[in-house]
Amino acid sequence: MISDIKNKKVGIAGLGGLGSNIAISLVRIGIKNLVICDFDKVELSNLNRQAYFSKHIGEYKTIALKEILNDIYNDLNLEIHTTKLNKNNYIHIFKDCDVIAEALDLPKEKSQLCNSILSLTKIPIVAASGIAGCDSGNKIKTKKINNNFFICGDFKSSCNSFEELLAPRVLICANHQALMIAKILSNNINS
Amino acid sequence: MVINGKYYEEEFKTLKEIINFFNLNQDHIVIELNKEIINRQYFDSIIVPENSKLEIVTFVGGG
Repeated sequence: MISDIKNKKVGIAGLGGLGSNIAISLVRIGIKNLVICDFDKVELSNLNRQAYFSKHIGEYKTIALKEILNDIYNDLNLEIHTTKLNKNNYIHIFKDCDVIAEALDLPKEKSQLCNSILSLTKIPIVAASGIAGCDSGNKIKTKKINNNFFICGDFKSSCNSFEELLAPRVLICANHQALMIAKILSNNINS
Repeated sequence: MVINGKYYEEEFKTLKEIINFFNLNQDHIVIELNKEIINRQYFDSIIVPENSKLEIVTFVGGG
């Protein structure tokens, strides 16, 4: 599989708990080309689930993640965008990608990215919905909507004042997304 | 009409009617109508053909 996917390019929208961990898994399985995008800086409260270290607090997530990924393999081609994603820049930022990981925080931003990419391009997208709390990890699934649209999560556990985002379920979902991306890139979506 | 795998007898004319029927927040959803993802700017105007098959994905927060 690795020889099939190493020349492909993956876009990651949002570098929080999902996006930072998706990037690490993709790099570990041989993806060399990533487009990573986030406007935010690392905070102490991120460290319970995001891939960053305490030394990264105050740094842009794009810069911090680039350092982490280059520490894993130093022959990567990383395109970083430290900007807020919106409907005016999605297409420009991700136009050369073979697949996109939706790893944003707010439901409005998630649906807007998926709406735009899926209605205006042919690029497949692997999204996430329902990752909060401590319910069973076995409830997190990958669902195929169509050949270009996949969604991972339990589809209901929202991040709110009662259910916070915690590493175990966030990383389970991130790796569902990474696995589905690998399957899309190796033309293996139905297995 | 089949919506998320379930048959409905209601006659919906537009996607907006369906969104209101299920009390959905249109900013939080993606709609696939007969295998095509519909850009949300057309939710108000697009006419839903008879016997359509819809998949409505609703996003919750967390990333």
